[in-house]
Amino acid sequence: MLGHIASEALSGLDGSAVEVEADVVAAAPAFSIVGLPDAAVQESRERVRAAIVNSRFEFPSRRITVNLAPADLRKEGPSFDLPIALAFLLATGQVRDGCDGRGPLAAVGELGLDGSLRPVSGTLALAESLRRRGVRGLLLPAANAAEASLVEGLEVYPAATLAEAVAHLAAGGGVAAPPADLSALLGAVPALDADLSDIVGQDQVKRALEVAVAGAHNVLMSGPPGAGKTMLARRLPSIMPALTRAEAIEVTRIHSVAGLLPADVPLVTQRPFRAPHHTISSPGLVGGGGTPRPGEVSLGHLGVLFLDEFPEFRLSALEGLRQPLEDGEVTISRRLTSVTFPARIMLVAAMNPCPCGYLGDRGQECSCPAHRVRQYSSRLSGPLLDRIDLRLEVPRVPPRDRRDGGRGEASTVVRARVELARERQLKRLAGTGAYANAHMNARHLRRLCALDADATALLDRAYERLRLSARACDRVVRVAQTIADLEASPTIRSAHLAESLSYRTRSRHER
Amino acid sequence: MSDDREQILSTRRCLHGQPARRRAVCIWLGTLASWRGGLVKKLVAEFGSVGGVLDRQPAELAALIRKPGIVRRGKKSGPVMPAGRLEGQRQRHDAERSEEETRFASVLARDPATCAQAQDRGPGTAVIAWCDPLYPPALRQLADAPLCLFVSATCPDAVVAQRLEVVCRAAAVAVVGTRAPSPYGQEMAALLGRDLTAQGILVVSGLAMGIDAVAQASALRAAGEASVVATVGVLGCGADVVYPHVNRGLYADVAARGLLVSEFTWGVPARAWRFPARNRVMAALCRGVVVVEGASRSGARLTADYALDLGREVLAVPGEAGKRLTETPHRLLRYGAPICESAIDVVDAIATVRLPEAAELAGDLDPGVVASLLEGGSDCGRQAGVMQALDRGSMTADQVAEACGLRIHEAGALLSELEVDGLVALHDGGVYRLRRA
Repeated sequence: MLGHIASEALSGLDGSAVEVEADVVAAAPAFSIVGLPDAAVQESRERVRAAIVNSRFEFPSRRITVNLAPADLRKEGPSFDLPIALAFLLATGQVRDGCDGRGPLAAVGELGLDGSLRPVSGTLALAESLRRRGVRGLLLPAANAAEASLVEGLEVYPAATLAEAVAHLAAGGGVAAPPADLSALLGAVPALDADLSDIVGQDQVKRALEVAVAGAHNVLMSGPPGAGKTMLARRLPSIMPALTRAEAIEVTRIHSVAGLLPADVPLVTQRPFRAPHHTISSPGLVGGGGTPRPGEVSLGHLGVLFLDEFPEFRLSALEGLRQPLEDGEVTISRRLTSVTFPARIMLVAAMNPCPCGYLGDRGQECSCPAHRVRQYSSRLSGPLLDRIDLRLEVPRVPPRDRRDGGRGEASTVVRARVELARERQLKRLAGTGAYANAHMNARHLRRLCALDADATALLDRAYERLRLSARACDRVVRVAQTIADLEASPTIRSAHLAESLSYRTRSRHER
Repeated sequence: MSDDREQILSTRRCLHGQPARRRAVCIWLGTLASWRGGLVKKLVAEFGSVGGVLDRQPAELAALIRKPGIVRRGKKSGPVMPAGRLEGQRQRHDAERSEEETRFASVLARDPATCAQAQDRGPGTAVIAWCDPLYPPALRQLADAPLCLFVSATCPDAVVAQRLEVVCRAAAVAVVGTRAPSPYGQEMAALLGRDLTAQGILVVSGLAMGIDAVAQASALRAAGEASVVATVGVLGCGADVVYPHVNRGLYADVAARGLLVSEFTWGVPARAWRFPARNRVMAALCRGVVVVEGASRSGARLTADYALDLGREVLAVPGEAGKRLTETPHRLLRYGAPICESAIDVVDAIATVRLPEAAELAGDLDPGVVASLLEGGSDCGRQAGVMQALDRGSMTADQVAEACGLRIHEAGALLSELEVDGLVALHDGGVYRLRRA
């Protein structure tokens, strides 16, 4: 006899249809799975057999063949356990498909030996793909139900055990989980416990970070250990505009595929903050692997990717950042597939000014020989640095200021200004494909940025006196445009440009 | 800020009734000192400080100078010149001395105000008195500081002032050495002149033959069209006197694109005693001195010694062992001077040298100038306020904002504007410094 049920395989963030068929014939007992299964799928034979027996179904001594169609698509992971078990039960006649022309159901889920259903990763992407293909409903582990129900127009049938899943299938559905209330989820965002006002002093850096966030500019902070670079970076999400509905779904999709969604959280409601260690490999940072998985640049999508000890990262990893910084996405090509992950990050890099960390510090002497200092900063290539609009010096706060220094504004106040500035940018950039000043190219700059006469004169002088390169000039104008947006000024005035000029460092690589 | 201003204005009323008068005395004494070495030193010893000297009445000063034994030069008992071939030389020497004595006496007899007026040589020249704001603050550190500087350049007066301002603030390094260098010495001098200029360091030298000339010619070539001052020549004769004559081309170039500075009044001829004096001015003006080549008794060694006394950095270019021309640099190296193989060594070495800040000597500045800086809430006034704050020491943007009561983005913008104008420099650690440093 033959049984079959729909399921879904994921490649990157895209799903493709997989039909799970089971054939049971009276022959020498055997259980084989065909259709390019990987090791996890092969092993599902053992889980399926035990789960079926322990759920008090029969596992007859027959020849069982399971086919995962289409046969030329590689199938991975344990999410086919449930559809294989259901196809088998349909084939042996232990359950009857109750859909009866109401449209088919699909199933995903990992089985435990006792017949319980375990959550799988990538549920959101799977569910969206199924809905797009017009599948009516989805049988899945109860733990994934909340996430899947974010997708409108797909019936979600959660099951805690194989027996419950069988009951749903027999009923052709049964009681669907209620659709998720997106607005409620987004509205109940807990306040971040990291606030900009936690940081004493560092007014210039705080202001620069406000500008950076407002224009989505990448930032490089350079300063001695203990100056507060990490602390400042961690507070960036608190001044970024809140995630919109679509953005939240986008972030959740990636985190779910990477298996990083916490069990009780169906939706990521806060901007990601990723801070990988500097020993990370290139695939770990930009994504990759035999089965392409999102790297840190994609996990930080629409949030902050914080790279501490920036020059200590592997050169291959750093160079791999160039494409995502340019395009806002990463494409990973393999022999059979090519996968694209979104990667629109705000890069926040931090480094010491020299290997010992104290170059330019006023308390402690730097102990590095000059050539080591040059070597250290020369690890950062020009093309990479070109993508970083703001370069900040973060000096250590003197002890007196540390005690009495002003705390400055709370994150919510700064965030309100940032949101207004973003609105102005969106208006100006309409039709260019860019959504923030940082993404303006040289042509956009000339067409859209209006410098008044004083500002033009100042830029010319700066070009000559500070020996700026043409690219450096573009960076200065981009940042000045964001400052003008923060001040709600239609043109870039010389004060804006001058402030923008102050967000540079003296370093050699500046030019 | 307004409190400061009130205070400065009231100080001005109480103490400095007649700044113009003071300035005239300053120029008068400076002119006198051009003809008689050691005059300032003795006057300062008498009255405690340069300021103290300037507070005296001219008549009192003139009487003191005339008094034998105080500053009156006695008959010098130098080595007896042998007769014969050298007789002519001796006669010439005596004639020169009596000529200088005559000039000295005539200046001494004049009224300071008319003397000061007579020193004005029109466009392209300037006389900077010790009490003027454009007087390089670093020179005040000398106990016997030149009472005035005679400055000349072939450019409009406004440009002369602009160049002087840069000299007051720029990081300067003197490249000095023998008048008869080896090819290696010439090569090193040229290299240093070029690379120091490229690093934004002002090359100062004495416009003598040899190392001085090579370094300055190379600095002139390296300086871009945009640089305000390509190089500064400190002279041991009047700033309008070309000496040595072979350097007349270089002299013209420095006048056109740099600055010629002398503590000796117009027309003063070069004499042996004036060169050590010139060297002390050169050492004081710079943050560091690089000695390229020099025999054991050389002007370069004197310059190095003056620099060490003043707390400036002295570097030496190594040479070949056992050669006469490397005696001075190697001696310096032996006593711990940093080695100088390229401009980078110089940049590293002078980074820690701190020149006395104008504020430490603020009592000597004409307070009217300071007050005018504080005037108005205009951008210009705020810039001046920022510079004043930086004059007390280098600061980060945060500290500037606090000191001047500005918002942080305003402070950042003002600092950038000053940086673009070359008045302020951004250093490692986000620290801003006034551009004499």
